[in-house]
Amino acid sequence: MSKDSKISHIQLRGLIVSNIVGVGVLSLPNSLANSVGNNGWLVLIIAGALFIGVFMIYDRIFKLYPGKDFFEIAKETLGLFYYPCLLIIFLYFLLFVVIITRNLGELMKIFLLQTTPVGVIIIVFILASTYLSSHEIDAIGRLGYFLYPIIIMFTGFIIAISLPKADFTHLLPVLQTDLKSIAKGIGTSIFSFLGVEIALFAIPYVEDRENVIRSGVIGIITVTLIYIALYVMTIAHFSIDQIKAIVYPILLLVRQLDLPGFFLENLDGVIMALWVLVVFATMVPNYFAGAKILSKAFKTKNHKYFVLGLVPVIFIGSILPENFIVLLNTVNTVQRYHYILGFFSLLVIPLSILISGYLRKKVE
Amino acid sequence: MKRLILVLAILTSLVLTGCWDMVELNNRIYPYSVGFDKVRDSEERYNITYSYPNIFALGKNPTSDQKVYVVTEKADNLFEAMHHLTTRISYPIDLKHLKVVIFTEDVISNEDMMREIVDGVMRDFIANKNVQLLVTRDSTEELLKNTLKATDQQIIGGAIYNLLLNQQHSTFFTPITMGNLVEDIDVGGSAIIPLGYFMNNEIYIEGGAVIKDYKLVGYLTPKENGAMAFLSNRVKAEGIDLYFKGSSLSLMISESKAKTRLISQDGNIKIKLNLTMEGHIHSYTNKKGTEIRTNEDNKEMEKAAAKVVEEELQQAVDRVQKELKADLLFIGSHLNRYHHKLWKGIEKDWDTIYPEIDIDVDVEVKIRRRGLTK
Repeated sequence: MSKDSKISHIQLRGLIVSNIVGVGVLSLPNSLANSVGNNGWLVLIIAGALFIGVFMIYDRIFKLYPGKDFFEIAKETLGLFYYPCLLIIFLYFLLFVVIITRNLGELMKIFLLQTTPVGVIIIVFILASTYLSSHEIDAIGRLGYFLYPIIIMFTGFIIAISLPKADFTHLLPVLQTDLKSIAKGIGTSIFSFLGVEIALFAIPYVEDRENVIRSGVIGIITVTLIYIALYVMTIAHFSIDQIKAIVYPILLLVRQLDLPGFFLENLDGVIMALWVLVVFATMVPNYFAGAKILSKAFKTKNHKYFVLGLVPVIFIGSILPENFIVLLNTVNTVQRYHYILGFFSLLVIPLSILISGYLRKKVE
Repeated sequence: MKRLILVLAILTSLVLTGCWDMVELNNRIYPYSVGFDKVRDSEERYNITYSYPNIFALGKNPTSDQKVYVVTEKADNLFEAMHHLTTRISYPIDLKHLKVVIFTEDVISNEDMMREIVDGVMRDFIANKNVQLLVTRDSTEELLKNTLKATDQQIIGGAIYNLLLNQQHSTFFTPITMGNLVEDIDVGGSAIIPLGYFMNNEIYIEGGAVIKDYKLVGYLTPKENGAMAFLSNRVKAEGIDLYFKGSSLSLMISESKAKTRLISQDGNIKIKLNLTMEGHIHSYTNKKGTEIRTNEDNKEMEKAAAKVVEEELQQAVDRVQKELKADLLFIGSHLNRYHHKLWKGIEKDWDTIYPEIDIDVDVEVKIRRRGLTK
């Protein structure tokens, strides 16, 4: 663990927020409406609370082994399972990066660059991320810090233009959804919080280790609030059936609104431009994490070469799915494997590290 | 080597301008209205009419005379028509600034066609989702061509669009966009599209076509449309004319608020629609002995006005409920939102229950100001 790279609290917070809010944000109201109708805000609160718990697990791990980074701790505690676990986490990150890239490529093509081939958009995006990903966590922390206000602005902009015409009675009836669909909804919304695991890479480098938990909790609460705000705004503008049918409710919301006085119409261009930055902020940490794992597994000093080596893998991976439906539906698709891997690398592996760490400490 | 890098850098900057595939604004056609006619004896199902402004006829030194073009093409959908038209008009069509979609009676009477058109616009990446809708009884091609002859001609934005924007807040029709239509039908099962026609060199837009589950069920008169607009809080201002103590009285309503309330749910469901209107006196045939002096006079006047409005609204509500069987006042959705338990029980049979429920309109008029004379 190198001692010279340090990140501050605000950077950690920015990193968590910018890493969680990503591609899914445009389609979040759709997936929530499909499972819980108009009570998605409740589900989001529950999911947010769950993730505060997950973050506490991460914090505990590093409290147990102060001064060590994730890989050292994992090696010590997991023993024989160290390499398989690394493989799972690596695949998770790789798949994440692939999904982000493809998503970005598709949306850029249909909304902004109609005549540019998807391949070109994708390769340019990958190369741009490569540069930043080959740096250490402190540079990426600064990216988070830099994009944190932009993400808040993105949300603020959508809220500001949609407030005047919002009809909040759409949120009624409250709490009439049965428990089964709420459980299903929690399942859905958990996956919109994928990205917290970047904390595993960042916490050991935070300057003041004592108050990590506070920054993390604030970060997760911010994300929850952003999600709730966007969800409520779409519900207040469309009927539930409409949201269930629209793939990107946020984009349609922006499209249906005009700024007061008609001086600007079709604001989706602005939103898309901000969204690309949001996606970039998700891409880079995940890309970095994937390469970092490879470099630790092969015991190299630097992860730079792995970042470069991953370029063709990501490129091919992201143009492989034949269409968008294969990529995004939740049954038997790329997304589903990603969710399963995510469940392991987000919760199961950190939890087993913690438990085994405790047991080992007890034995000693 | 240094020179090579320099040359490469300069060459790269050429690519970075991003101008190599740009399209000039005047090299694209931005139609502002598109009309759908049903074709009977042809393979293609629609006769699609686009009208678009001629950019060369605008500005200080126009090079062309005709300000608006109208082109017609037979096709199976909006997008096919665009492709067909490329053989006839010089520039590609872009639907991003589409303002009005016009249907004929034939098209809205056919559920599949209606759903197809709505889906086409909503699904497309580029098409504007805020297009205003209009229904006409005869052909849309005629209407769009006649629009050119209309005396009140607006080049940019189009005559029909400017009328539909309804800047006078008329109650004779209620503008609706494609997005609103889908929302209204999802929430209440039905929606009203304004009705337009061409007569005496003028375009008229008044009344509305009632669409239930994407199918025409009937028409509303301008008065009925006003009633629905008031009761669903879509307009705030209108004039009321009545006779009071033998002389004519005209009131201007400037503020109105409608509330739906469930009165009883045992046996037959009873709904009360409370409408509170506020306004001032516009004009009053002032004779001796009929001046407005006391508060009692005012109260009496308010009551008389309320009675007139109430009767009118009740008639409209009854017709919509019993004859058209369309839930234009979103009573079902009100029950869903505020009386969810009751709604759960009747949701499935709502279509048969709705025409049978009791809907009672209750109007309260408040005259706040009497003007400068007594």
